[in-house]
Amino acid sequence: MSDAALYSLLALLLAVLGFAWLALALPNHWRQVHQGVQQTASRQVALRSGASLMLGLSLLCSLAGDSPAMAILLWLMLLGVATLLVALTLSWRAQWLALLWPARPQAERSAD
Amino acid sequence: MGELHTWAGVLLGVLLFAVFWTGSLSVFDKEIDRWMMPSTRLHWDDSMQRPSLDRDIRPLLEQRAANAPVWTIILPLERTPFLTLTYGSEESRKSSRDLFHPITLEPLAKPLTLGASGFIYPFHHNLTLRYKNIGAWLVGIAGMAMLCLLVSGVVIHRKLFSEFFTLRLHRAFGRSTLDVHNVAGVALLPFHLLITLSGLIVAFAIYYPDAPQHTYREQVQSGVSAERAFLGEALGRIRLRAAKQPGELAPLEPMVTKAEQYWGPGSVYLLRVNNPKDANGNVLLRRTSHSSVTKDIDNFRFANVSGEVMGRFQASATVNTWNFIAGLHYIQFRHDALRWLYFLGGLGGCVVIATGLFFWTQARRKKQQRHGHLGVSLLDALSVAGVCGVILATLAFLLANRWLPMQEQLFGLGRARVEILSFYAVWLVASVHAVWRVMQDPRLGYLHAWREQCTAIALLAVLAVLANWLTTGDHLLATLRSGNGPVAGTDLCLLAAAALALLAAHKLRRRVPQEETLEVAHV
Repeated sequence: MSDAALYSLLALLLAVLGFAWLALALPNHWRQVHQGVQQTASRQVALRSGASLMLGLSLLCSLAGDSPAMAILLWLMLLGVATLLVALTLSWRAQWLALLWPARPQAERSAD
Repeated sequence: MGELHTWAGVLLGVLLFAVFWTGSLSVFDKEIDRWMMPSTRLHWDDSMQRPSLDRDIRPLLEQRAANAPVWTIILPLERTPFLTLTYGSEESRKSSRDLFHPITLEPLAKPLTLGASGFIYPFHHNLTLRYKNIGAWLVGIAGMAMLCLLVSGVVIHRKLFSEFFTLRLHRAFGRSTLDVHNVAGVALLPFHLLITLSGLIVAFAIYYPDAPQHTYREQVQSGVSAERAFLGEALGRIRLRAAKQPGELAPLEPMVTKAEQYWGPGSVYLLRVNNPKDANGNVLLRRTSHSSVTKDIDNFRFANVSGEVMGRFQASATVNTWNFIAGLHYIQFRHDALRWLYFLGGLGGCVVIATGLFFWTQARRKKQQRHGHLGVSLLDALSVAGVCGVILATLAFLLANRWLPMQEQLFGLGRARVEILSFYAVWLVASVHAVWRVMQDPRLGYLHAWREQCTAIALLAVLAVLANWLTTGDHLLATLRSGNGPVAGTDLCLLAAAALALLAAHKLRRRVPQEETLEVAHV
């Protein structure tokens, strides 16, 4: 696998992670993934900042693999693919996203 | 905004679908060409030794078109792995074209087809209606409508952020259709904005035909047409008048060497010799632009007799901005991942348009269920004909390409024309079928029409793969094993299309009895 392809793949994975966290920051998807765990405002902030960081890193990765014009084009396309992948995962196997931000119901309740 | 979204979608959705569909296929036009032109299923990469222009190619030109006013040599490239020679003729502007093996220089069997780059790609930008640019204008209007649809779609989206990822596929039919429309529409919004806007900008000369008239007033007074003056200054296209005196063409190889000193080794891919046997002629060299998004239109011009440099055209910053936008749209640079993403993004556009149309008629149908409404029925028929119809027509085009006998003339027409006629004939049949189905059963006819045409798509796609196998012997296992990417890729995409169409037909089949029970409940 060439370097450019490797960077593209990494950029895609980071974009998927970023969008998955953005989805988890939305109340309805959080409920869908973590049933019975209360979402907290601070966790939403953490998810959103983590997501922004990942999307930024994703852009850096695609810049590392291609010339700037192609890299930005590629990044925009990968953002679309990542959004669709996250949406499909949420509709088909929502629990999988729990792996990307685990939360235990018991621990939550004792903290309340 | 809701009204705008509805009307732009209803009026131009079908046309937009055809443009997006043919545009997506045009991303891989050269690969589909390899599928449709078996004699060109060859291999070429940059490490291979180019044929010598003076020793190998000149004699071919002398032998085939010694008196042609224009010779064009297109050297083999990765996506077009053969040598192309075209010769203009005095009588008609149409030139003839011959293809040769890139190494042995044996003439290749005539493809007898326009292929994807000669039919599907032109259809994408002018619907093959060239008279007074009517087709290009229609595509332009559809493009403007697409921009309106994208913007108004974002505005009327009720829960853009809270349902950014919401895709309830298991829910009711209408709900899941709308979710697919929304999620795909939002996820692909940047791409669809870029591709639609760049598509309109690329064709500026059609949409603003009089623009040069005002800029080049001085040249017009001195007798040069404004278009010519503009093409010369902006794009480096300069016309040459023959001196009607004989001249001898200088060696070509040193010209290439000279140009490649500036452009880099191996970068020249096209040479055009104007008036090769005249004292006043020139040789124009063009370069590839594999490694940049910007489409490189720079050229070198050499005097044909002396071989001296006559000029070097370098596009201005303004023109290169346009070239960047054009390159972004044409995606001719070397980037496989982006090419696939463009293809999928374009097909995603098809999905957004089709689900939009489907949702609209569904919603309207619910409102007017009891009276039945001619307008909705017609739009139903139009959607089936516009979505499934154009896909079926494309498959018919591929099938005709493989099944028609390899003869120049068939039924008194050129073979390439018969392929195109099959495209339009099948589209017409699909439209008639859709109208017939919808008229025959105003309540559920549209479901039958969608389902039957989806089944037909699956059937034709599998037949196309079989036809390729039977007529060329290149079955999928062979092409995969030998690394024949274009042919294997086309076959795999056809099979994927067949599988998706079957899945859709299956879902629609389950839908019919559900609708029937719903109807009963309403009565």
